[in-house]
Amino acid sequence: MKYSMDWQLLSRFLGYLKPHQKLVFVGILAVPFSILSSVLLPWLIIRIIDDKLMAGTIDGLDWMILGLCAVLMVNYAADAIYTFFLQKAGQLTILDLRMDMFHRVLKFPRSYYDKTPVGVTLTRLTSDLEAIGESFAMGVLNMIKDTLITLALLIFLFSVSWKLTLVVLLVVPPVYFITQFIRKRLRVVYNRARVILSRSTGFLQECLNGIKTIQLYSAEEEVESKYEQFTDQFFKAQTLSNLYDAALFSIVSGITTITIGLMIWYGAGEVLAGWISLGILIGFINTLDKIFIPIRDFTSQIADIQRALAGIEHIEELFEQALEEEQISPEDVAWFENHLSQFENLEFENVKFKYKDDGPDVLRGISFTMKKGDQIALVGSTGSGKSTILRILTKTYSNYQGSIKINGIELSRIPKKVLEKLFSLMQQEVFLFDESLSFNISLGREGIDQKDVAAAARYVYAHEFIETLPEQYDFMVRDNGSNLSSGQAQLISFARAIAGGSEIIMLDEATSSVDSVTEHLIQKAIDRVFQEKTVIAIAHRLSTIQHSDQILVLEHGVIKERGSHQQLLKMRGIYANLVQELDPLAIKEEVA
Amino acid sequence: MKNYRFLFPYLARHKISYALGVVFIFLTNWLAVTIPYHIQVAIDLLTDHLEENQDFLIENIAIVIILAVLMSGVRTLSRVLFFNPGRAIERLLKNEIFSKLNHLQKDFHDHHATGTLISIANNDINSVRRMVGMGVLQVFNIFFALSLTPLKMWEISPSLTLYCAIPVIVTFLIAYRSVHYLRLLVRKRMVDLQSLSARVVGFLSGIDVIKGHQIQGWALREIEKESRELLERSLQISKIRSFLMPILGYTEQILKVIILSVGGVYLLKQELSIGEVTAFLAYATLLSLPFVLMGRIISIFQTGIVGLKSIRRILDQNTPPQDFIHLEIPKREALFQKGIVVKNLSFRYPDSTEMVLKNISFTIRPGQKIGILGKIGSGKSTLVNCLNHYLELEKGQILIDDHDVTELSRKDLRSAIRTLTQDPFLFSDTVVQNIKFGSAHLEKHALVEEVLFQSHLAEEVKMFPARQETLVGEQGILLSGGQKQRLSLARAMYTPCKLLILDNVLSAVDYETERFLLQQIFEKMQAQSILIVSHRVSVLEQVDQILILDQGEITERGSHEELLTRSKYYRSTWDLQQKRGEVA
Repeated sequence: MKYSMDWQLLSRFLGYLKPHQKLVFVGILAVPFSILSSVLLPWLIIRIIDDKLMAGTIDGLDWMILGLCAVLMVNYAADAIYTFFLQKAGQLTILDLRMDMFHRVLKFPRSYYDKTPVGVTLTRLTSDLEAIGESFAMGVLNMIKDTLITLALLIFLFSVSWKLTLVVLLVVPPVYFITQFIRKRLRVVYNRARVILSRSTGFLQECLNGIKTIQLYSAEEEVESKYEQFTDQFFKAQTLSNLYDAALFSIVSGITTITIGLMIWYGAGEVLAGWISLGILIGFINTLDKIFIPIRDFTSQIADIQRALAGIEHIEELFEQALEEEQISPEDVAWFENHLSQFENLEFENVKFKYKDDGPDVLRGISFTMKKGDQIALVGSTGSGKSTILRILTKTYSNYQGSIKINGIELSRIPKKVLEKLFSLMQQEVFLFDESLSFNISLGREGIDQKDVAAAARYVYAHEFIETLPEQYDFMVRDNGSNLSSGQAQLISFARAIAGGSEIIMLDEATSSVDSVTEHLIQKAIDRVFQEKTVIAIAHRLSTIQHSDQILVLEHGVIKERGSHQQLLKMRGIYANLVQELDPLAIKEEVA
Repeated sequence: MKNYRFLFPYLARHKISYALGVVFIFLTNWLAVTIPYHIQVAIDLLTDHLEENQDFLIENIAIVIILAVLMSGVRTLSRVLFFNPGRAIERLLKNEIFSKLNHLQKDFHDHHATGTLISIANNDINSVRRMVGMGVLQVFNIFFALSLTPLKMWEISPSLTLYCAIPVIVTFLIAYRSVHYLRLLVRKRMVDLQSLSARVVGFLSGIDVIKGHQIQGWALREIEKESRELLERSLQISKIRSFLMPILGYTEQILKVIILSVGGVYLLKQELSIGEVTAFLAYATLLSLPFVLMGRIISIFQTGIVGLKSIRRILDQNTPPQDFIHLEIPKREALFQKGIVVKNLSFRYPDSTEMVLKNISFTIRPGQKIGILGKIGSGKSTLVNCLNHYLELEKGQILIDDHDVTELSRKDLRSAIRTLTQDPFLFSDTVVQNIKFGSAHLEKHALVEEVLFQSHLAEEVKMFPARQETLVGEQGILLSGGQKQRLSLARAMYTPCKLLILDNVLSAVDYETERFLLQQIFEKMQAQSILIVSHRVSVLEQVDQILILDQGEITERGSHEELLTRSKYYRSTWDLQQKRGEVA
């Protein structure tokens, strides 16, 4: 079961490797040369000792030494070519994988992003791919080659002296079992340490998030003593693993030496009897670690491979996630574009919606209509459903119940591409790319040139402050706008929405307060938009709300009150209460 | 160098362990170079008069095996003696960082992302641990290997030793250059990878903008550009790893060629025995080992130093000195005898020019209940965070008894003033542990059942799967906003305090429950004085004095009755909420 899954996972990776098979082929071509030279090396050493040194003749020693040099060079070249070409193939495969994965990620539905923190997706696209690349380079490549060479060497040794080879092989099982024995314990301790570490990291994170509570309760020492328990447990687990780790390393190298002793002891009789030569004995001694090292490293290479498989398994998640793709013909797109080139009206009829199938209804029967030139403000507390309405309209989420019609066409049928031209959304959370201001306004969209960018900036009164910046429209935004004030960032985002040239502006007003100068500019920009465009706004500013023809007051997914500002104030209901919290003066006039 | 000096006191704590480790690493290397000598003797015996010397051969083989066993033990010990101090230093650094983070104030935490701090506490400390463990071990290991092995070789044949020095020096130079070059490339690749990650994070955070404006093509091209740069860098590294670094591994083979050719000639001239050549072959392996390790060790020190620098970014931060000078316990317990006096308090946030609080003055006497009313953004929470010294303020504006709050340690101040914030923070722990949070050092406390009742949670907790021992938070049950607020209220009431500040904490509770909670808070009066920030007049109606805050100033003050007649704003709010109340 486990293995069949591993194969299934591997097949995806191998599929991506296929276009680079030429490189793989060149790399594999080098393997026979590497094996051959690895075997020739001890053979030449034996020959030099037996035929020249022990025979007491110097004739031809120079040729043999030259041969030795040639063998070493072939070995070096073959190994280098093998590693380089396969690593190159691996890196190219990873590039292709990364691009395909990112391509998919861009098509994931909003619901994916709701439940997956950005960090997780980032890990898939970077660390997991890195792990695959690295363990592929380190583990898989070396293991394949090492195993082949060890096998070839054993066959060679066997053909030279099967008895001495048996002495060597006698030691292999103990080496293998000792390493297995220690590694098993090591793994248990490692796992324990990992669990402790992840718990202590969780605790650390919690403390950092709740640092205010800790400090206000002066609970610093209390959490510290708890953290110290974690670090202490971690220390204990790790010192144990240190012991195993050190022992593993030392015992294997000790056994290698013991085997040399055993070989001389056994070989003495053989040499004496003339069955084997001294050269063979010395040749064996010199080849020993070439055989033991792969056995020692075998388990750690397996761990490397498991890391790569874990990486592949992780990225598999991205391949299994369903995409949000629309299959639609260009003719249909043209039809929709034709019918939706001018906005006429929008109609919500008994719209219900829930984010999760088993979750609660977030919208519970919303109905309203709006015509071209109308301005609607959505008002209500957090969780009342006002943001959901905008998300459904922009098709960030689908699967609503009831009916939403734009120009009489059901929203679910309209392709996103067409919708984008109809609506422009100014999000509550401003997002800016680390690019120039001009790019952040145009977003490189077709048909928006530098002139349009400046026009949009002027429209929302952002032009003035941009002019005062050192590079003006070429000013580079850093870290999502950390080098702009939050008000300026809002203005840029506003200009972006305007630059799209859409009929309808959807406005999700930011709640964060900005300095009074920029606040004034934003208000002026909003006033202008409200006068000239069709607007649906989630409003927090009283001035914005007052500008609207129609105010919908939502509570728990239901429209509780609707009407103009004056009408609603007179009702003295939820709306009046909300307004009172925003600005008591507004009520005062009303009451007075 | 400064970084190493920083580390020195940590290393000095474990000087015995390190000293023993050095002794054992010396022994390991001494054994490693002694063994080939006995192999040499054994091999020579094979060519010469073996019959008479059978016992001597066995003796030497026995010595080889005994020394090998001994070496395994000594080597294990030497590694443990170096690794364990590394782990101990890791533990100490983690505890110190954690404690430091707890004592650093808002300003620091506002400027440092949680993710970065966690990465320092885990990854950077880990790389320092590797440096002071594995790194230090290998430095001594290489030192002894490179000094003892040539010494033994010299004893056998000085001239052959000199011949062997040539490839060692050449490969060392090649290795040094390529390790240096590789290091640069690896660092550059790290930067490339970080910039790719930053781009990916940027695009994922802005995914709605990308999709909303259909600019996926651009995003893909940008990522492809970054990925290609990373690929180029990876390939450069691959080239060095495939073509230059393996040369290090060939040191051993090259040495063997020299030993067989030059040594071979010596052997034929009878200047060397075959056993001595075999010993030389064994020394070749020992001599080349440090070179194979060199690359790894250099990178261990590299990342170690980088880690150390990150750690110092936290540990070298100054914590407010007054936070470590505490009042004597009786004095601390006597705090708030005269209450709190706020005089002409003005405040603005460090990176802003706008005054959030202007000339605020008022007094809270022991036993008094004060309410604050004001619209969003009027400065209520800022005022609260000044009182408990959560925000840094200037001297002489807030006094508790005769102490200036800025001169008192925060611990002392907050033993008297307890603040409940709007956004209660609960730990992923049991209900009861969340209630007891912060009370470990206090003797006086209420009963858990009592505070559960007072915070109107008793009934609900009974329904929880494991009652009071139920886990809350991510791994446990999810609490509603109201439940969270009431649980944090229970926590606040568990231990007594002098002044309890409730900053809009009952916003998610219904009217009925709110009335009950207020009654409990006011009647039981675990706290001497109470400051309540609220939108609800029904709450404020029960306090002694109400302050109305507008744009950072106290515009009106007085009792409920006084304000009803005097303040238009208060009156209208009252009327409105009365009507709401009737409807509800």
